[in-house]
Order: sequence, then C-alpha cells, then structure tokens
Amino acid sequence: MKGSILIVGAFVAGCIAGRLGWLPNWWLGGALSLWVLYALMLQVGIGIGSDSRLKEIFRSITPRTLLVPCATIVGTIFASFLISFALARWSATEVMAVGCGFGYYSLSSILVSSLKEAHIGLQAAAELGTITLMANVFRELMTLLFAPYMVKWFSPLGPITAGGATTIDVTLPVITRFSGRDWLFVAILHGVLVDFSVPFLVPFFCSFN
Amino acid sequence: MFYILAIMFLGIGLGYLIRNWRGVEHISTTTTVTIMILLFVMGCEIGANETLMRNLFTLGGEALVIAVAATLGSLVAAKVVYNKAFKSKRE
Repeated sequence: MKGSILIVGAFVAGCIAGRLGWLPNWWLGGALSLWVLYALMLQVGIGIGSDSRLKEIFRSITPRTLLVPCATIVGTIFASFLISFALARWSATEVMAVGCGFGYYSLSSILVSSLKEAHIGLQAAAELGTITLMANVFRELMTLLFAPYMVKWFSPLGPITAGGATTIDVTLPVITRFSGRDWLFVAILHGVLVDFSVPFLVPFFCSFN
Repeated sequence: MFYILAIMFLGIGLGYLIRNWRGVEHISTTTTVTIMILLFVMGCEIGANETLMRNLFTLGGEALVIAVAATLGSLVAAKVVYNKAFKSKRE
C-alpha cells in the first residue's frame, strides 16, 4: 500500500513538473525513459537470476499458459463491444480497434489514425487516434498503479491480462513484484503473443465501415 | 522490445553469477525505486505534451471509458481462466 502511494506520487509529481516546464529538453522525448527502462530490466533480470527457485519457475511453463493471452484478447474485445453502446460517437468496430491496442499505444494510435482516415475523414480519424493513444496509456498506467488490487480481486493473472502487450517490458516489474516471480515466464509469453496480435487485430477492426 | 528482453536476460545471467553475494538481497528495493523514477519520467513526458494535455479532458473521457472497460474485460477473463485452469493445480 505504502509502495503504491509512493509510485502514484512519483507519477503525479512528474506530470506537474512536466506541465510547469521545469525540466530541461533532454529530459523529454523518450530517450531518458528508455534508459531508465533498460536499468529497470537489468535489475529485474538480476532479481530473477539470483532467485534460488529459478528451476521451479522454468518448470511452471505448460500449454495452459496459452489460455492467458486468449483471456486477454477475448475479454478486451468482448468488453469493448459492450461499452461501444455507451459511446454515441463511435461504432462498435472502432471501439474494438481502440481496445485492441492492449496498451501498445505508440503502434496502435498510428495504425488507427492512418487506417481510419479513408473511412471517416482526417479530423475524426485524428480524434480516434488520440483516443487510442490515451486509452492505451491509461491501460498501462492502470496496470502499474492498481496491480496489487488486481492480484487481490482477480487472481495473480489479473495484472498480466490487464497489462496486455506491455507485460513484456513496462509492466513486467510490477507483475513480478505483486503476482510473484513464479508468473514471470507466463507474463513474458503472454506479452510476446499479445504484442504480436496488435498489428493484426487493430487493422482488422479498422477495416469495417 | 528485443533490446529490452536482451538486457533482462543479461541481468538473469549476471544475477545467477552473483547469487551468493549478500548485497543481491537489496535488488527488490532498488527495483521499486527505479519503477518510481520511470513513472516520474513518464509523468513528465505526458505533462509536457501540449496536444495531449489540451485534449486530455475532451477525448480523454472517452479514452478512459474504453480503457476501463477493456481492462475489466480482460481481468474478468483472467479470473475465469485462473479458476478453471490454474487454481486446482496449485494447492
């Protein structure tokens, strides 16, 4: 609990600092966050490599782990379809395309804004692309911020399916932290497969009029 | 993505080599601190992005609705899969 308050606090402090323009230019633009992410992944690796239960973790990989990415994809598509009835401006397939970013906001937002232009025009496509960007940033952030509650209410698989395509990098540390290291290889396998589905599913749902 | 995985596997190798060194116990603390730094930097990037900030309250509402629904859909599916395929096989 104390840990997640500190994490939320760090994020809010960052938003405020960025908004007020307190930061030098080299700080922004993604290069720094990428290096911090590298540092994080190295530490996650060290944590795993030094774990005495390493062999046990390897043995936990079985065919049923393939059910986990299926749950993520089916759950997201079905829920996106249902919620589209609450959003008057967008069709069911448009909302499903947004959902199928699975947290991979850079790729999915570009795909949506470029592929929808022919169907709904430049302005609406740009708006839907922005929604895609934000919805998928939110998905990643929600996973980072609420991972402990997802474990508590939805099982250790919760943060893995919530993290979507990001369980291979950004959300992997919180999964190992809150679901436990036993789930690491499930999370990696899940991340690879969901990541791979984004460039197939987003264009598929964008192809409807 | 592949760089990130390569670095992690490098860390696994390194961690395995130094597994008997006592300092390695502090790795979970430094990992939490690094997660905080990463979220601070991500916050900075979002806060400094004028377009994203200006649209945050108009399109952001719709984005939040979709994000919450999609995440909840996956979470419910996770619970079903866990109860059906995982729970019984883990004491």
